[in-house]
Amino acid sequence: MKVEQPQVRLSVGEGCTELKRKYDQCFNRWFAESFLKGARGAEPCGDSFRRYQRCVRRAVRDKDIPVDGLDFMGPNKDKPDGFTGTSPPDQDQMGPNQDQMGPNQDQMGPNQD
Amino acid sequence: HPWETVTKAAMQKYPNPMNPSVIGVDVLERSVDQQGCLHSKRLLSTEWGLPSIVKSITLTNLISVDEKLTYKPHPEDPERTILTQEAIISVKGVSLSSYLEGVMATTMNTNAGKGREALEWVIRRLNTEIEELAATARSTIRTPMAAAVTDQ
Repeated sequence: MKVEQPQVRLSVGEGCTELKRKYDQCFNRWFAESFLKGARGAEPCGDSFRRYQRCVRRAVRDKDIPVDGLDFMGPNKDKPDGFTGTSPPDQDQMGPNQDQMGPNQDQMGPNQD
Repeated sequence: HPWETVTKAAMQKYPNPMNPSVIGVDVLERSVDQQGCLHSKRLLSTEWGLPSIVKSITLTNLISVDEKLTYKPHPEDPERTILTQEAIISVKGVSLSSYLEGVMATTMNTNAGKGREALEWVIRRLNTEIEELAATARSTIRTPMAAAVTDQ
């Protein structure tokens, strides 16, 4: 299968990429074929997720990346009007390798023109 | 594109050639809540190739950007999805000049366009994979087996 992908590390933990790939494959399949079609149960990827997680948590600890206690704009609690499907809010944390940027208590909004 | 297509692509957005600075993405937590909402906490690893002066500003946490993207099905057209993008830029202890604010706003707009391009790229890639899978399936599945599969 030809897939053009840039050369990247893929996981924060260098040794975790293969485990991540296995988990991603399982999750993406469940997401597209079960979750988006209305299935309510948890994803069946528990095993691959646990293995992948162990690896990632070790890497995060070793690299001293602060991943807990960060506060972000939360997801909407309300579902959009007229939409009866699931609305999965997703929170992504962006952070450089060395450091994580987090929001301040006093927030300044961007230019409102 | 329909909401399902966009969402599938958004979950697999990185890596992509439009965002070369994002070199890794990891899932830190994931769960489905009682309302059926999927929550994911992900860590994006980035390498900006910053000159050292900018790096030192970043390291002292002077500026932070909090961004929220919302994908909703178009209320009238099931083939389309509405993306709403918000950003809160926070600066610690320093007033941003209006020039810098303008630069930030322009950068966010440019990046929003790149983000849409990136999703288009992911959607094309996913469609190609599907077509290739279908082509492989067509050439290897024999008729009796296909009939048995459809007979549920």
